[in-house]
Amino acid sequence: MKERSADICIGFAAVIGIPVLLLLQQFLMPKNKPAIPEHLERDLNYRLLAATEAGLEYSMGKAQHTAYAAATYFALKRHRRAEGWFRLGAAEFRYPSLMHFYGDFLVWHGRYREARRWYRLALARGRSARQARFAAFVENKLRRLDALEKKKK
Amino acid sequence: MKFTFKRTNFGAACLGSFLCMVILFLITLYRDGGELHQESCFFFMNYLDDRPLIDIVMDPHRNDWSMYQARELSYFFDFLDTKFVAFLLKRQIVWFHSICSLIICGMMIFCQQYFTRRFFPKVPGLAVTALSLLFVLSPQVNILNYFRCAKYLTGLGLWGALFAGYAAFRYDTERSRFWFPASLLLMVLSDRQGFFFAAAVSGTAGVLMLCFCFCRDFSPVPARRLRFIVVSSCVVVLAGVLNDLYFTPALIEALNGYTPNFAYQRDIVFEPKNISDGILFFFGNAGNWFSANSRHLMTAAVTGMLLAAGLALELFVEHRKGKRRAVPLALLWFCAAGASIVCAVGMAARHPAVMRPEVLYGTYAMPMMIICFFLLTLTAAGGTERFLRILPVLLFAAVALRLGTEFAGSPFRTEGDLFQGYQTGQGVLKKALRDPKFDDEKYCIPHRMELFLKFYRENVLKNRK
Repeated sequence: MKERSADICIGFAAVIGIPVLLLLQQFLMPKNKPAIPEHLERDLNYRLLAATEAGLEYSMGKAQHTAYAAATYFALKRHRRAEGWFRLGAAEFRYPSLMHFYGDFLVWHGRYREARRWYRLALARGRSARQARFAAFVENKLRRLDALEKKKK
Repeated sequence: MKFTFKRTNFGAACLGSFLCMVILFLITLYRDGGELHQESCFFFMNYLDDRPLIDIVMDPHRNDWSMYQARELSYFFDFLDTKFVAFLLKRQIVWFHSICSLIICGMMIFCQQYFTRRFFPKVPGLAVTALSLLFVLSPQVNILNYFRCAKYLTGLGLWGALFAGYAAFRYDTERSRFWFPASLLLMVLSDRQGFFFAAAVSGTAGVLMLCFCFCRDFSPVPARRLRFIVVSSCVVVLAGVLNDLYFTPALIEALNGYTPNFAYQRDIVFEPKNISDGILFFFGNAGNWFSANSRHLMTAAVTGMLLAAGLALELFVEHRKGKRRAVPLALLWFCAAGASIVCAVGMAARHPAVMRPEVLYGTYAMPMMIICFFLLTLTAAGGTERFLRILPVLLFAAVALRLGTEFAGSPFRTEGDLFQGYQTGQGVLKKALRDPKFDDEKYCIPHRMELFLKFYRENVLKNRK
């Protein structure tokens, strides 16, 4: 009889005690936010981290984030890496806005023939999507590119 | 009862485990080295830091983004993984899989194979192997990413605790009395999920104890055995609480000079949506054990329901025939499903990212899978002859369904396959790692990978020369 009573006590202690212990654990945890020294990873550039990851991770490769990543590298004068991001948006994701931006980037570098190709692709995309204002904008860019090429010749 | 070593059990278990390990290894080969998790880019640099091992391991600020969870034991295995990845990278072999997880998987499969054959000799060997195959074919197990070993360690501890607990309850052997608390301790020190399931084991043992005291349906066993299980599991859970609150924080303070941040453990905001998320998590994963594709979840649900109905029918028939194990088994199934759903609800509340498709079918559901597989074995062990004849057929049908749906889509997907941003740069990174002269500057890779490549070139490659 004594053993049975002990077993009942142990059983109740486990059934009730475990959830109580877990709640007590939550209660006993320090409430204040401890001062943890900021750990600066070597060579970490938060601007690049935000541009290349936050955009891609949380927006699943939306056009504006890809453009932002490319523009950030461009601003940091890392043009070859910037071109990689422009190509990702223009060639892989096939975003018309990125095709147009990539065209601008190529014009800046004096690669007019390639720029024309991307402008034309952007124009075709804009027309097929019936975005008249975007198409007109890219057409205008194409005309300016023609003028620029004539001037160079 | 005293056990004798059976060579046949050991040989069959070795053969079954070897087959499963070959499958796992082939999956890693098929993935062409896997993918580098973006968080692992930083872990790689951190674990190869020029600091003493104990300082590196006791540093949740760097190893876990300051989310202290008292799982420092798993960081030690992550450290070993990093050393192995770096060792291979020095030889230009790209292999972003966790070697520790692979070895732990082998141990889990051997544990399942050997102890099922030893403790449940009535269960057909084919059914045991089919269960192992289902285990390794599911992404919860075969993802093997070089990221964290915590869930795999928890899984190993859980297999050990379940078998040792059964042995302690049924046969009261010396070894089981050592291995049961030891396995629970491994779970508690490996992960918060392990701690939760250790608490669930002790709660369930308490419920069983009360049932044995009050209900006539529960067959009489020496109370001493059950008392041992309840008391030892409670002691381990208490030790886990003390470790979480006092011991590990003191060590971190002494070694790294800061108090860990408890916010991740403490600040949980429950919303009604978490309940539906938790239920979806549990049943979605249960469906995923049978079907590789969410498009086939209906088939998976039907298969799962058929299995559950078969089990329920088996238990009902046994109860009608007067077998006393039917009610305790039904209670165990109920407790296991309840604990799994509570765990899933907690995870959905604390870490909502678990509901994202690329994480949902990851390693988070492995402990639930292990509990269900163990209970399936336990139910089959005392089943009717007809049930034991049907079981291997049903399980192999499930394996065939799993494989069929796997190859119907893109087979053996990694976490990154569903995640466009995550995949960007993986191909470029592998090329750059395999060829030191490769010019990665003209391709787009995330900034973390840039840092990883820089670190690799400045440290790993330099040391090679």
